[in-house]
Amino acid sequence: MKASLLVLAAALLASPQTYRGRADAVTVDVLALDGNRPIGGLSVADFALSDNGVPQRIEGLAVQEVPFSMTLVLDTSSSVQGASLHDLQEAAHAAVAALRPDDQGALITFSHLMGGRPAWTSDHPPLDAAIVRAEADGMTSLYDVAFAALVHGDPELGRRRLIVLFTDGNDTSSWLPSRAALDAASRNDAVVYAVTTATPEVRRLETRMLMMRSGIRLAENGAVVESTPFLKDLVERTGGTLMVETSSNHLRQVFEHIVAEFRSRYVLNYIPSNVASTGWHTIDVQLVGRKGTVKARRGYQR
Amino acid sequence: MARTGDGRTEETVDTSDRMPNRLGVVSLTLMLAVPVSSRQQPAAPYQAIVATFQQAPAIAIDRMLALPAQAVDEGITQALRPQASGGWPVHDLLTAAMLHTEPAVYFIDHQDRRGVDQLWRAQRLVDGVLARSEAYRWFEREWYAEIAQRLRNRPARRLIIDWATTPRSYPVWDSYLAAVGLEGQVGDTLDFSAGVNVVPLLGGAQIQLTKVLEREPLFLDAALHLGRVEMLLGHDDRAAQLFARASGSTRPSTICLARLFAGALHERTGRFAEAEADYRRALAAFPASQSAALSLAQLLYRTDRHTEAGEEIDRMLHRAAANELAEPWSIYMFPGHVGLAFLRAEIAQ
Repeated sequence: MKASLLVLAAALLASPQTYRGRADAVTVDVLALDGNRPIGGLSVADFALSDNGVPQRIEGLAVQEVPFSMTLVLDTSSSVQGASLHDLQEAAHAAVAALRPDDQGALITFSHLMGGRPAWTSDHPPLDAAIVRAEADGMTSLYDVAFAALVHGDPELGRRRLIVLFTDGNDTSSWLPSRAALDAASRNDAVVYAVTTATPEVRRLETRMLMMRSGIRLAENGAVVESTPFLKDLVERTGGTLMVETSSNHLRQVFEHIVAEFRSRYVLNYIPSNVASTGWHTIDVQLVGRKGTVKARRGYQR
Repeated sequence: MARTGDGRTEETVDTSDRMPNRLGVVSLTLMLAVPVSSRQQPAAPYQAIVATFQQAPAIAIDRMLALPAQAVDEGITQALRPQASGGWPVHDLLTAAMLHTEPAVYFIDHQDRRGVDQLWRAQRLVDGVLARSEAYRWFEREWYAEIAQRLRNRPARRLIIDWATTPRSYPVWDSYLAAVGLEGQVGDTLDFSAGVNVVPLLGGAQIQLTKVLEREPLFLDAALHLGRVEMLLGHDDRAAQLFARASGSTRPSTICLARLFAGALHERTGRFAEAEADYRRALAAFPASQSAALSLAQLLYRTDRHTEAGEEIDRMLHRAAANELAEPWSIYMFPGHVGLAFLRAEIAQ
């Protein structure tokens, strides 16, 4: 089974590049689950994909051996001091250790300002060193960093993109409204896994407060502050997962799980046909002839 | 503790756990622990030392301290002459003020009388700037507020008792702080989006800020805050006028934020070209601003200029990795507590 996957992967490594080379190609990163367990060994025939309700022909499918670029986005605001910061650093080291030689990593730390080591690298020591240097202080500009991480793309074509975003609270100080990051997520093929240790009360309460946010709006009908749950919306737009933890004790296992699960995802490529060339496109991906659920981005903006 | 540009940490005034400033004050701890006499000091005239302060602050301070006091004082006297008589431009005077302020704070914290001399020199320069132009009143207020904050409840206070017993009085500044306090309370009010009435708070800030501007029309930080209050109240035309007024400030962070708010008003109504021009001006006024870079990148991205947006974010993150970001937005609500590092960043723009 492993040998066949390797052969298939080798044959398809060029596939994403081929399709990404076409301006009209769409890439969809898909996680197939049986309960909570990823389903392996699937082929094109196992998926049905529609674009704005119109069935599409899946041109290619890539599997786990395709290298990817991972951005670790770590909340280092003042509330992450002490044991939480230590647990977070341990988790980040574990995620870096899980990268393979062909994978790339980048680190963005954030409070009200960003820092870290955003340059892409396959070398683990510079990333580990940057993780060690992280200090906790300041406020939380979650929307700002989410936007930056989404737009900070790996320039190497054909790579899948994983963003692992950790926060222990809600946004308190962003200049950009949440809409900016959510819109970027809709126009982006990165998959966001968000991990939070904020309690539901904190998430619900702070979302509705202006705090130190700028209060700017990007559209006439935009709200000064959005009351929708930001992280949930963000991950659903990208086909990722929101993982809520009650403490930082198990962050290491959570981060390791995210990298492992991301490797088990499939990348589907198709050329949209019989749909409008512009506007919002809703994507629906289903399994054919077998039980299970599928996680994939909700759609894309053209 | 605050992070310095080279990754070390140092003590700063504990104003608030929300106090934002990642650019630390020059770390003098190690440098000043070594007696001046034991260091090799190349001789340099005062003006040349000031000129190196922005690029190499620790070296500049070191060299200034190595100069004889008479040479420093004569250098300041020369600097404060009218420009037609060989005096320095205002920007250089501000830089010189910071060159003396940072060791002053360090020495006073360590109960070293040299701090008093440095503080007097800094004060002389600040006063000299105001004698040149009232448009730099913002620097004087922030500087005095910062120094007063640092001297409060410190044993070192007895060292500068003469200075501390002659505090400057700023009635307009006090009204301004009260107004900003009201504006800040809006941020902590629940359910802004659900329609809880924040208008009384905003209205209070609106009245106070209007009075401040009437009493001191050149107080353009007040125009900036009043513009945001009007924007939150939905009075976009009035807000745009106030942002235009504030963008005439001599203060880089005020110009930057005024342009960003003005750009956001343009962007909201689909005037993307005007918004882009505003964002680029904001970035030019304060290149270290994270918000300015984000605003520009966001606009580029939403208008499908993804490559340009990515390049803008890459530039910003590169600065972030080097700890070179300083954010006007994060000090907006903290007048009088912006910190020496941010004041230095202001005059470095």
